[in-house]
Amino acid sequence: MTQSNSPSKEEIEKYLFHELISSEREKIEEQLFEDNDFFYEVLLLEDDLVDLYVIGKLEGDQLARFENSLQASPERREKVASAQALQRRIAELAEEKRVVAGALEFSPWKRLPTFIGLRSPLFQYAVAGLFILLIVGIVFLLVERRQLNQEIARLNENQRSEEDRRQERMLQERIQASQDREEEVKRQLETERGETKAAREQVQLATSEREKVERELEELRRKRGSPIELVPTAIAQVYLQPYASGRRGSIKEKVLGSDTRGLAMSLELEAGSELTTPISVEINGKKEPIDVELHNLSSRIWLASISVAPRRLADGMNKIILKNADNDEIGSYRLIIKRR
Amino acid sequence: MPEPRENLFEGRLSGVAFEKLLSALDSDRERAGEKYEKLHFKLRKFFAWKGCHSARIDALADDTLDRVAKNLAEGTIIENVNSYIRGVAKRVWLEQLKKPHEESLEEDPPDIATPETPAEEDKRYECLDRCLATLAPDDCELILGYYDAKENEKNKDKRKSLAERFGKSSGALKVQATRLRDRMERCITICLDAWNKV
Repeated sequence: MTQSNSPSKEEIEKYLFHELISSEREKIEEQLFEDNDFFYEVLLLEDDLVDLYVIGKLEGDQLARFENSLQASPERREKVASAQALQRRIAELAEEKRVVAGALEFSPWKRLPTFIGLRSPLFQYAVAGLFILLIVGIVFLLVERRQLNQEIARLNENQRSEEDRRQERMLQERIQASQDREEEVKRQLETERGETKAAREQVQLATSEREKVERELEELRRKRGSPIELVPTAIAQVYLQPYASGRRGSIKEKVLGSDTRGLAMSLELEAGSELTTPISVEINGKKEPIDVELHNLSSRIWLASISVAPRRLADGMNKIILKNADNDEIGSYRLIIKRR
Repeated sequence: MPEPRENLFEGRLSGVAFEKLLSALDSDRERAGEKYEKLHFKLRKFFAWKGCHSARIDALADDTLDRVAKNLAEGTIIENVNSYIRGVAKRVWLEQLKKPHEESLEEDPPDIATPETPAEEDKRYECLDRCLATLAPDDCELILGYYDAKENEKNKDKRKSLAERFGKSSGALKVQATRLRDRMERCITICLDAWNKV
């Protein structure tokens, strides 16, 4: 079949509505197989009829014919149902777009030019002036915000430095404590040669502890990449042996800085003391509510660890006494305090 | 390229028969595959316009092409493939009319006064959504734009501008849209069928 004798739209509709006689149907079907364009023309016409039916645009005779055709075409009924779903989807999308467009329409930025345009020239100048002020304000706020961000960054940096310093202080305190212990044990070695083996072990222990902490400190400094200023120790440490008149080193001197928050004391107890707990602390004749921790340093040597607030200590000579639960003295110590 | 189907009617469709059919459609295998798909689509619409049920039209189109392939493999000389296929399709249609269980117009007049229930509509809508999601974004946009019936009523040039935007002629866009719609409708039918079987 050529283009010249191609079926008309009316004939195609009749074909789709099952209104043609057999020979006429044959003619259309023949062209459907021979002519792809014609095939798609029929397809599209059917789709259009279905869509118009779905949106209620088919009227009168055409509507009746279409509905009649549905009786003869189960596939078209499916098509109508699917087209209804498709149109529902399209309508929902259109609604979504409308809502978004509406939101933009009510946006202050969108309304501003109209708003200005509706006013007198004087009012327009005023609004324009306000607008400029607003822009200047925004710029100022942006600059301010940038400066604040820089300030926050600087403060963060300082906080990090403070953290580094605190860590270094702690390590220095540990070094100091190790050095004290090392010194005391060395001295003990000199005075108590009978106990050389245990004391040597203590020396080695204290030395290795000190070296370990020094390495940690070195590592901290290395990681940080630059040396930092050493700051005064906030917690001071001291190692005391029981006081004995004429005994070398049994009186110690400690300088406390203005920022010293506490003095950690390691007190060597009298050998052979009865260690009944709780152990009480007297400073300059006054019983102080201080916790005491006991450590067994060797078979002979026990240490009591206490932490004392600087205000409890007098400038100059201080007398510290430890007593057991039976109120027996288990250690008496002398410490000279000096303050910067 | 379509896969050869087997066991669809009276015995097995051999690979040789399928190759014969493709060769008869076009000497180039890729183009032959495209022509096969178009023929299958055309046959489905042919059976639909004859009043066959949507659930049956796929099987009838398969049956038709399998018979043509088998005849080719048995040595039948075909001068006009399109005309020959139409003849076989008509025979297939007449045969299925005679089968008592077939869901044909004559034997099982539909009741169009029974619209889908809201639950059925929702199922179909859900299936539509799923099927649209299987399309490429451009295809999805095309089908939603091309079949926006209300918008097309208002703006007669809408499809033309859509064609320009997709860089296609109006004819090419029309073909693509109808094929996409058919694909979507088939997808919905399969989806609903699967849903109803659950």
